[in-house]
Amino acid sequence: MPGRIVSLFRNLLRKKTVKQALDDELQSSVELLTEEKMKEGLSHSEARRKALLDLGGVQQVKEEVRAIRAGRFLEGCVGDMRFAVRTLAKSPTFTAVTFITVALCIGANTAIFAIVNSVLLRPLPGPNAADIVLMSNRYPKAGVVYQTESSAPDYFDRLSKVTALEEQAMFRRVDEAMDVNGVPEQIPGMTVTPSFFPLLGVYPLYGRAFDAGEGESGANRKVILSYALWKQVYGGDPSAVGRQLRLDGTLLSVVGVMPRDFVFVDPAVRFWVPLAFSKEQKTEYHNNNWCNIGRLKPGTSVAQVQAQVDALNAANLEQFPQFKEILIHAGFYSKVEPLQQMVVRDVKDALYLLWGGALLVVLIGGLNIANLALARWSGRRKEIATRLAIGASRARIARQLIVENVLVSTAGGVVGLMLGKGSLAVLSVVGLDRFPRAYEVHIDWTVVLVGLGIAMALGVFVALAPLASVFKVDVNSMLRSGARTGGTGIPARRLRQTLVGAEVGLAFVLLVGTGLLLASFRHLLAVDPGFKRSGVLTASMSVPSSKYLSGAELRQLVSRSLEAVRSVPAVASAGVTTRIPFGGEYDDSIILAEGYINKPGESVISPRRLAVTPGYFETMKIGLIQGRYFDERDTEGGPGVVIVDEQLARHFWPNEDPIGRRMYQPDNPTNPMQTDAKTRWYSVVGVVRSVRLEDLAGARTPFGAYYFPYAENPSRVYTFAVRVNRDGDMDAVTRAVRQAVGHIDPELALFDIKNMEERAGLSLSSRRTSMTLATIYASLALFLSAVGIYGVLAYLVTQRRREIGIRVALGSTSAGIVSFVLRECLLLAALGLAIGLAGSVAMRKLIATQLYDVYPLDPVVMGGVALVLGITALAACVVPARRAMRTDPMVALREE
Amino acid sequence: MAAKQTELLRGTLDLLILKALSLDPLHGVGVSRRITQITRGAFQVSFGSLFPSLYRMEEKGWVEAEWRASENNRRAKYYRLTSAGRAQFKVEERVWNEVVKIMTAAVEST
Repeated sequence: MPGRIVSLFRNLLRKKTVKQALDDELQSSVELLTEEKMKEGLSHSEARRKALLDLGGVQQVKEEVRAIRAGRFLEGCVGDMRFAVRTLAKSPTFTAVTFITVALCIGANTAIFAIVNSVLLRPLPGPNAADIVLMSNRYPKAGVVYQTESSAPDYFDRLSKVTALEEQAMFRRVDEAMDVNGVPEQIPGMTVTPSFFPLLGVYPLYGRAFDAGEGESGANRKVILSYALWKQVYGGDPSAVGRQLRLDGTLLSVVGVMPRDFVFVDPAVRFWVPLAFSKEQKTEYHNNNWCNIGRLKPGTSVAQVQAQVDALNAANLEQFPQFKEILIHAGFYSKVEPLQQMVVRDVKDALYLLWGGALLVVLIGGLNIANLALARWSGRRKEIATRLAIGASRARIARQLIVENVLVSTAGGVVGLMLGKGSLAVLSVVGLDRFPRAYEVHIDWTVVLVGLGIAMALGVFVALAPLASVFKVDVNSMLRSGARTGGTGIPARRLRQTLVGAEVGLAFVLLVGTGLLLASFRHLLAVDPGFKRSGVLTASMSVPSSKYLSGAELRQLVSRSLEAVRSVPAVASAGVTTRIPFGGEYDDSIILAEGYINKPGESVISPRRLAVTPGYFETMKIGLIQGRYFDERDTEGGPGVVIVDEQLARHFWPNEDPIGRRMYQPDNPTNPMQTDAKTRWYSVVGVVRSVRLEDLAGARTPFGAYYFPYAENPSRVYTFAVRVNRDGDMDAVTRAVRQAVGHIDPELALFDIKNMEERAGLSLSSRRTSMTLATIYASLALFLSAVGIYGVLAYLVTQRRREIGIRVALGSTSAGIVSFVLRECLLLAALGLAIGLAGSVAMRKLIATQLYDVYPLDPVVMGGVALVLGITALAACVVPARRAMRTDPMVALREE
Repeated sequence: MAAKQTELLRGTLDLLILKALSLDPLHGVGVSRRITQITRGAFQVSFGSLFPSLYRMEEKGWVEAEWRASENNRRAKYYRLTSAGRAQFKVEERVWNEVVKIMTAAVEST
């Protein structure tokens, strides 16, 4: 229908001329008809009158023609918009309140949705990154659920058997010491198989990726630098490729520099070195130390990979029958999931919940302005009735109403988007910059469209209630009745009460959610982590293997360092641990107790394993329950000793004395449970308090922990714990400790220097973020519902001025008048509480995962919220009640 | 006057206008008069229906309009069938004849 399209444009673009042409044509028709009539012998004026009559009214004909013309709808909308702007300008309060409400709601929603979109919905950066999956070994019944790693032989098996993947790689975070412009620094990096870069499909900016051969020991002295590290070390000189760099005390040659925007999982990573598995590593199943990723072949799915991995695991069970029972009892399986899921796992639930909170705010805001629109509508009923009476179609008026509301809400939405963008910039205040992928958070078209879409939907939603009555309006009765009385009908009042009741109810749900988060947080802060966190300085160290390869060298280094640290003034005590609580890294390993027989089907357990020096428990003030701490007797050659925490002690010896009991780690490859002459035995010398290792909630350590002497189990990566005297200056001690360690070996660098308070705070940071955002949303919701209640009451008082006037005239006391307003107020609050309670019960499962030590229907929280809402409701009725009390009967009665 | 107006079947008006214009170009009033004439006074088309139909046909490209002097030397907008309009006229004519045949047979069947 090109003809129609041409007409559409002509009609829109040349509206004036087309309109003119119609006027002219009708004018000429009138003249033609007049002439005809005059020929029949009528006078000119009589003929003209008859002609107009024949034509049936010039205006009507014009309307009819306009009604069929192309583009009329659009044209009408533009007209509607102009009209809408005029009517909106006439009620500035309504317009402003609606505008501000929508802006706040969309602002709140945009900030959190931008994060949800960037972190959860958008694929990881890199070409087709959505096709990258992660395979990780889990042993839920042994207490290993959250692990993300696999073992080296798994990787080689999967390379040949998992055909649904076209490329696979392994990687692991490593921190290495490097001399950056004369200062030893600990640089975060990754060790990766040569297949890593081809899998990601990202190649160096300068130089090359690793060759396949560089994944073998001996050939792996190569390094690829991040753009940032290259700038830092070589000042951006492309000839850096081919030069030598000392990392971890070893000379490596630089083979490539990655592009500036390359990020894989962790933006802190600044170098990549080839991963070469040792001979032993290649055969050690369940030695899960590396993340195994793969790229899906086109057309294959995660489920197909999962099926192939499952089949492979099943075959391996048969191949190594000595492990079969242990693995089955441990619930062993390999989880295949999109890599993205692993990256965002810790924050996913919290983010969706927060987004839900923001949407609740949007809904509350929507109810609020719907209510407002309804009040305004009742003032406009007469106008609408008049327009209906003189021939406007209902559809046209409906369109007008929608255009009006959508116009305000869209404008509010645009400002809300800007608010959201602005608030993203300050989100680091609430700790959102510590979320995974936080560096990627930005506002893209999806966020803009969703924001505007919600704003427009709000506009339509707000117009719905008035719309419903447009179609019900009885023009006659409406025009006859007084203008003001129009809105007081019972149904309209009920509707408004319901809207505000629902609003208060939603606010209740949001407040309860926030209250629960606050209560959880308070409980977490009060949690006894098993050690005393104030006054403890911690700093980590990663010792280059090139310089300190043997255990003896490590032991000597650590004891010399500790001596130096202990001699620093203001240091009360010091110790070393392989894993500091809240440090973000954990080891677990199977341990067995002599004489403990698993019940049928019971799994062996893999508790947390740590190695600590004498002085560590004392420094951390980890309480001793029984036996003794480690001391100088516990050396590598001496009798094996172990300290268990109370949780592990309860597991193995629920009703017996653990001291003196013997434990061992399975190391017999043919029969892991069997002990023999070579078995190294560890006697329990002490039982200590359980320590929260991951975070204060401690949800991930189901079987507790055991401690070996560091001398027995030296590690290249360890952390100092230093207790500073009460009057000691933390900063001064930090500097002195740094110096003391540097004095022993200037190439060694302390990193991750934090006091325990900071670590505890960081471990709570995502909870703190949720709580802060939830509190902001809840305050917004509380404010909006106060406005909603106030609106209904204020309107009620205005509507019933006359009635109140009569009551006052008849001698009603102030108390009587106030109780009249109060009754309405309490009705709204009660309705809201009922809806809110029902909502909270319905939502209790959603929030349960985010809570600590709080029941989702905690009576204190619920009661507190009810109290807060009640007070808010009362506060909202103060002004209307006072206005009602001051009603002058004479003025009120004369008014109508 | 109202009594004389027979309610036009929906769709019939287009056929009548096309028929009226099939001989020579006419202005709006002329079309109205021509329809009264060819239906022997049975139909008097109201201008409220006529003008919208003419505009719609113009948008569909069935008729073209042109301002020129009328027989009395007044300026008037004349409508003329385009080739598309003539084709449409043929179609509508054929459809109408079919309808009449079917309806007649249906009404007269015993």
